Amino acid sequence: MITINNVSRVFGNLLAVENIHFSIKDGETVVILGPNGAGKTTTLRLLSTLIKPTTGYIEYDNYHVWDYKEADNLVRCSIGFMSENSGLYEGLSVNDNLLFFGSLYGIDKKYLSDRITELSTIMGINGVMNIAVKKLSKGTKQRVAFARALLHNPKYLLLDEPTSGLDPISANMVKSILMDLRSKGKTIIITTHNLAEATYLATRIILLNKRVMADGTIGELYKYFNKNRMVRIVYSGGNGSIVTLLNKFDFVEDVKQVNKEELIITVKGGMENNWQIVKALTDNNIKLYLMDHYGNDLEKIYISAFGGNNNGH
Amino acid sequence: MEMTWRKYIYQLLGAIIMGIDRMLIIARKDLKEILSNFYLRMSLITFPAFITFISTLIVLTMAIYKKIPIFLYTGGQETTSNLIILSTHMILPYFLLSVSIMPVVLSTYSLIGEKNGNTIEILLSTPASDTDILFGKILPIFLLVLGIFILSFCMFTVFIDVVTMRDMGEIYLPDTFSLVVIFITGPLYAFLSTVLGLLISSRVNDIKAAQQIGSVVIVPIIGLLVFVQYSLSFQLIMMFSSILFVLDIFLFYISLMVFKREDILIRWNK
Repeated sequence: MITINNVSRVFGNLLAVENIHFSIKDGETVVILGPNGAGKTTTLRLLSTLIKPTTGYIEYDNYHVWDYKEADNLVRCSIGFMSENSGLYEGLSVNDNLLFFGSLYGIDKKYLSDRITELSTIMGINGVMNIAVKKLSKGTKQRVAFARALLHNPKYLLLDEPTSGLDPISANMVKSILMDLRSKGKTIIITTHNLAEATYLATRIILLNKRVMADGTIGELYKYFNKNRMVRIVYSGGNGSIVTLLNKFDFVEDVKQVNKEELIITVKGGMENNWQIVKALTDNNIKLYLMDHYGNDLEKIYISAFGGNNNGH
Repeated sequence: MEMTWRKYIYQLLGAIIMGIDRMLIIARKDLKEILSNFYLRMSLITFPAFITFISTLIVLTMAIYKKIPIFLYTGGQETTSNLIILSTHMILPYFLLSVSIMPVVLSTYSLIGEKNGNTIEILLSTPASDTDILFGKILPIFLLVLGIFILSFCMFTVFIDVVTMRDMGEIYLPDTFSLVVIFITGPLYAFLSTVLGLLISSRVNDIKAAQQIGSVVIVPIIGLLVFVQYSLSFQLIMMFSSILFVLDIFLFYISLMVFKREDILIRWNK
């Protein structure tokens, strides 16, 4: 578990973050969202022990970061950090890069070699192991960077805009790797500007603008900002009764028939009401084929939180 | 109580061994990076080769044609062997140019290269301590430059000895003066330039700017070197080496104080 306790960080006259306070439980995937200059990267650097808080403290499990050198080393060994850029040595081969970083974490040679083989298979980089990093595409570099961050099997993964600048195919690959890691119980903290990615990956979202503006699941954020969200369903059966059926619910604001067997439902509040929709449909022998978010609902929350409040840094 | 002390000592020893291990890992990586860069590789070869060639040529020209600067006149005893010794001693300190310039070039490339390549943030997020990184950066540059410096001197010695053996009647290089320059002054100079280059690189983000600042700081020391070279005195070269030794300790202490991951990162500010 990570605890950030009333942490502020000042650079000269610039206040980067102020009294941020939250904790992250093991196994959570937390996405930190915020405009440019909101302090996302500073927060990640604070979490990765790269910089000290001006006030407040950070705790990893029972270790206070910056208290003493050994604790910092233990914390650093439990973190896999990935910056926006791959952070790989361009002149060295993929294998040399992985060997170098793995050795810095004190991984046993035999284990490191096996681990590199394992990760290169998972990341699909077996074919480029002896190629210099500078010859690789950005997407492949990012996959190598992922392998590097996972070499020492860290408990926590800190990722600064992991899909920034990637083409859709590479970005998708990175997201699927992240989903896989999430399912394996890794604690992941991601900063991003990509709202669709945040919706897809996050178990919890923190809206940051120097301070924590809101913190919760997407459903909780909808509630907090009192926003409606849109749900698309594809179904069969019901003989046209479905619209009437759904309109009976207090939390349903609007139901639009967009196709013969496709509806867009505007719903108030969080996702806790979804099950009532599912139950109503199944009780009435309507087969539900698909139920998902329609449009980028998080965008409304984002604009509510930060609209007209971009720091412009 | 005894167990606690023993545990503490074991932990301390473990930390030192891990630190040395990490330092060597960083040093090996840096060496690989430097040698994989074509331009650095070329400058490592051509600069000392050029100095060796020019130095040999000057010594031979002065000795053969008996044309020496006025300050080298030895009261009418300008025999060929005297001239060879004088011109060799006059040229030797110029070898120190390679150990003063090359480390600045390599150390700025090493640390600012980490910044430009965006690897610095990742390197600093690993368990390697500030000291591990500093030592890991100093070691390969110092050893590489020193190795090339000694090799250049060996080549110079062989050339001079082969060509002057007939006139000298013996193999006279290396003599005490040259050994002091190569094995005391040279390493001290190489260390000073390496640490200075790293110190500047930790505060500056541009390779050219760092090299220019490095050159500005190195120039007064070169001035001192020219003064020593004119005097050709063993005592003076030892005094010069002592000054370098004090400067080395001072700069190393400063670098340990200011080489902090947080400062490096904030000044990098990406």
